[in-house]
Amino acid sequence: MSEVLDIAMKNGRWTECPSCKEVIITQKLKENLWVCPNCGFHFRISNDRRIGITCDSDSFRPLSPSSGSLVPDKEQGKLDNVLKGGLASIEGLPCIVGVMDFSYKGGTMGVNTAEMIISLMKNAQGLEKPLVLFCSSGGVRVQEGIWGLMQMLRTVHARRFIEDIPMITVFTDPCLGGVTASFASLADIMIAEPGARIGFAGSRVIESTINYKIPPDFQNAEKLVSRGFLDMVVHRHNMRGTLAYILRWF
Amino acid sequence: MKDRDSERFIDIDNALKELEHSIAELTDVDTSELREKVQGLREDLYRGISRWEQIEIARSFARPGTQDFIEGIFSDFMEVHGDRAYGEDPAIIGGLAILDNIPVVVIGHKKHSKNKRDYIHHNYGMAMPAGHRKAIRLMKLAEKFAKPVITFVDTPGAYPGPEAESQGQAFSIAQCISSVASIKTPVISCIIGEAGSGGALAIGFGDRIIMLEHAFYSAISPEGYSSIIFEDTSNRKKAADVLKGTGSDLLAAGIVDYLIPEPTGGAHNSPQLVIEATSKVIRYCLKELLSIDTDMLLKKRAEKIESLLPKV
Ligand SMILES: [Zn+2]
Repeated sequence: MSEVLDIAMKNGRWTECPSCKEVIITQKLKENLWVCPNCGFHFRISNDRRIGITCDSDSFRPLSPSSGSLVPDKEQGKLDNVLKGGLASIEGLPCIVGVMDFSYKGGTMGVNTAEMIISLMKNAQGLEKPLVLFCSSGGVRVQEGIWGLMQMLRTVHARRFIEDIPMITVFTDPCLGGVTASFASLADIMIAEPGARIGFAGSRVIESTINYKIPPDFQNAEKLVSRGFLDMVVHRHNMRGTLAYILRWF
Repeated sequence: MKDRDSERFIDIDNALKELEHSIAELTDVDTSELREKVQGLREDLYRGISRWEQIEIARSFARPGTQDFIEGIFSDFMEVHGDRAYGEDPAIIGGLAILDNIPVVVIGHKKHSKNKRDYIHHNYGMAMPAGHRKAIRLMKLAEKFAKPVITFVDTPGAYPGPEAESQGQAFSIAQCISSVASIKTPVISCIIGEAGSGGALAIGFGDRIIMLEHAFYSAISPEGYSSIIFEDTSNRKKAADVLKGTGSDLLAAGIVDYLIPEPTGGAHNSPQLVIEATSKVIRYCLKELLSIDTDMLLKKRAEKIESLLPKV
């Protein structure tokens, strides 16, 4: 790579696609909702960006996990940046939206993350609004020991209590371990972004179990649809429209 | 013998056992003093036992397994098979049983076996999705006919292989946890050995949780923790201390309701004693739970689940 390009990458004006290695003008990438215009690779994005491209502009009102009621709170992100959630609308349809961010602690679910998830579920029930969860996680936050593991049970249990509230999960890359194995996969409709890796064990663990390499697409969203575990793969460009259709249907 | 780092704890225990055997073979001499000495050595060895050493005990091949507990506690266990959807997974065994004239459903990980072939057949208690679906199916059966469920947890974790992934491992675990959380009949869970991650949690919760002293319940193995957090698998001792998953740890944390003490050296040194003690607690819990009406049972279970938070 030339030095000029290198500098342009460093100051963020250019971005290299991890999939096809094409160098893209970052502004173009942003306009394309962080999907590579060359190969269609879906970049991992922060929860703020996700909320920005999914919800109607300025419709998002963050929820605080502790109060259990609607409290706009700018500080709530500090509690646990893995999950940002609130009341929002998509194509004018109100819903509770939660977004997990893999870039923060690998999107792992700790006690506070679970509190936030449960709080969103309770709000969805209290306000009688559908729940849309974008899930991306490395699994349970093992640093929290047994308490991390127990949050799988707490979130699953909370989901049972809102069974009559429509719940939509959107799996984004990657979603593994204790999150896929708990609340995330108990939704009424399950969607994934193209190429998202979804499963229980990570590929490194699988490979060390069987002593050979698994194909890179082994756990991807398309495979999971063909095996009957997900409803559909939806391109990021069509996500808002798809969610709006489902929300309207409910 | 004092250097615990270089020598495996279990090996020392085995050496003591061999010594005892040799002493037992001695005739025409009074061996009481010798026997006392060996017992003294064993007690020294187990005094101030570390969490990592407890894990070694929990994983010991000599440890009594689900099968031993089932045979020792219930009368007329009848194993049933299959998930009614895809297959039969021998890593989780389950069936109908009788306890004090009360029909119950029993489900457990079959980690321990008599020989290597059986260990492989039962996949060391590492369940496939079919195993979790079998557990779900059996819980539904129990619910339909208002029979209590008793589970035995002994697994390094759910099987992390490609077949398990293609058959929906994560999805089956979520559904299994959901069944345990919602089933309208009493559930008693016994943590008897290794209880690793989501695979353990799948059947590792109940209205009453009983745990053996050296059993280890954890989100991840100390080796796994060490390699992820310390980026080196050799820190498993430190990892075991961070994970705090022994019976006493979980009793102190309020997750476990009853702790079954183990004889010096671990359950395998006197399996009958441990199984008998577990049986007593199960019977006590069962009586208690059967006297509660279903609404109250579910209310109490919900409270128990909601309070699964570290106490500040
Ligand atoms: Zn590309």
